[in-house]
Amino acid sequence: MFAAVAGLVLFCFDPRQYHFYPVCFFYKTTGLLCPGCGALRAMHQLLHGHVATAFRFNAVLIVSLPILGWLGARYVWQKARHEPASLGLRPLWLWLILAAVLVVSVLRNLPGAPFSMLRP
Amino acid sequence: MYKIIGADQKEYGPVTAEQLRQWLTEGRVSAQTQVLPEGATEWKPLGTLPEFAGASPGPVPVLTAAPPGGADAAESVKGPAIGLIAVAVLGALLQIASLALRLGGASFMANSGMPNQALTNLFSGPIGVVSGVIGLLVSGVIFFGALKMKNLESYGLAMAASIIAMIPCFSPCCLLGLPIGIWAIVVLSKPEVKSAFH
Repeated sequence: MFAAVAGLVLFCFDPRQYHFYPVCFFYKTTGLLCPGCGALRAMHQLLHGHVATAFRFNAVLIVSLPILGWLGARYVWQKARHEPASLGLRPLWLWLILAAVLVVSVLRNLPGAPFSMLRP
Repeated sequence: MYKIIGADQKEYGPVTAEQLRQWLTEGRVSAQTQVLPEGATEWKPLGTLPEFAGASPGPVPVLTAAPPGGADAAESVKGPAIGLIAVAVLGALLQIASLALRLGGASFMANSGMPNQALTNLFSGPIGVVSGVIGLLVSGVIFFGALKMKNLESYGLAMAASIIAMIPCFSPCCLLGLPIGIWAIVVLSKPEVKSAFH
């Protein structure tokens, strides 16, 4: 229910124009982009079917969405079958995901042409 | 056929031994999971049943008559739980500051480019406040889940708090919440920790 309302709000109101959305305090105070910066703008674009633009705003989020969808669907399926459910994530994968996110976060703050593609 | 008590304290089954071995391999049950074989009257840890010896993906812990590692599990969850509490408190403080500024009439908005000044006022005022209140509630959920995790009381809520702390723009601060959330999920995924929740 909450996700549906949040999705509707994001669909209707572009975060680039409406500023009632949560602000990134890390960006406000340091001027540096965090891993989540651009996520709301990316979701707005994705809800409108603009995958390429969404990718430009936050590539990590867009890449991770199908994986999160798969994990969530599998969890719900296990629950629906009345079986003990598990996200099935190995600790090594989680640490690798964290490392990848942190690397992208550093790269998107670097100056220069290739890295600017990671900036929202 | 076997019945089991899952990490969420719910009863599952009856299932076949083959199914149970698969769940063990997938980490959905552990050697400490309580099992009731068909026809038996006493629940036993899965690892004590000879037919499941060697089925565990990792080294099977030595099981004694006493309930397994509650103290160890409590020690394991302490760090990430405190981390999640820190994320929640930081988030709550930032949201309170943000709300105070909004209610005091300050605006985070740049008026240029707004399509309609009436909408601008609406979103900087009431909806901005609602957004702040939702942010506070999210911090509250993370805080409550972290407390439950620290006391090994609600596995589902602890996992939910860990996930929420990681979600960009939903977490009070995903830069802090991401590593702490992953740390919490890694710890919560350990079979001995799962089994220790009540």
